[in-house]
Amino acid sequence: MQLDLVTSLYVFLLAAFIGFEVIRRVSPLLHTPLMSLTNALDAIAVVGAIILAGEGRSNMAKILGTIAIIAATSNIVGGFMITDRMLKMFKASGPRKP
Amino acid sequence: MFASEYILEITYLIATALFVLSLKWLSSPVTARRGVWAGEVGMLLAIAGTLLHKGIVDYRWIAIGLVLGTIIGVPLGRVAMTAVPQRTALSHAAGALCVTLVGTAEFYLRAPNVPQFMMGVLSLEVILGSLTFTGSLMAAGKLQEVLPQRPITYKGQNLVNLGLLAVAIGIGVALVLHPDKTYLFPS
Repeated sequence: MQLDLVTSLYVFLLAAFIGFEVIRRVSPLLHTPLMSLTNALDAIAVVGAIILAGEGRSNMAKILGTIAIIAATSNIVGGFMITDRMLKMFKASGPRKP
Repeated sequence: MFASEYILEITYLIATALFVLSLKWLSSPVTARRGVWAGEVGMLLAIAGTLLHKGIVDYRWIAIGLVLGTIIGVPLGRVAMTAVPQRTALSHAAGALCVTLVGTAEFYLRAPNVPQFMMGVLSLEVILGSLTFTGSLMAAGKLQEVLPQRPITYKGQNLVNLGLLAVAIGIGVALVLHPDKTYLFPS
């Protein structure tokens, strides 16, 4: 699917507002897990890397795409794992209400 | 559109919704772990959907990348809690590296016929990405204490740094104005 420029800008604008509004009221307790979770979600760029490495339109695209997949996947796996570990520790130290 | 393309778009749509929910659920300790779960499912859907993309003809490199990335990622997810700051810096660097490489490859695939707007976006992406990459590596090195803790300075450092930034921005602007001037970056 190809989006035209203006539609893309609308998506960008709305996404920016959603991001801001969703993050705005995060309890300070959760700032560190939020950092590591957004780090993991940021690795969604892996989608672009997969297409580059898979389409194989040039050797350079294959090589750069593969390195990019490695970098992003390490973030996805590591990021989700460590976020979950942090949140488990919250539970261990007793239930906390927001 | 083919049916498979609809499936791909709907997969992305669900993944996007899950990412928004993931961030929302992480705002409160009660729902935080559900937030991680939503993020994981969203990511799996996005990757699985992309693997079905009809343009993909070669799965070897993708498989190698996913496996190596997982091998590197697991230990990074198991570091001691005291090492979290440098781990976060390191993964910032990896994320920035990914974005920079995707932008660079995209440029070479399209050059010399890069639309002007896209060239601007790609320049910004590659400049910011590589700044983040090297900057985060330095931060991680300092936090891990493999680099000296005191500021590393030399005479005229600000001048050199600003000069390098000016050159990078200058090349970006030059490429936006003349995207066909690929001799600046022969492949």
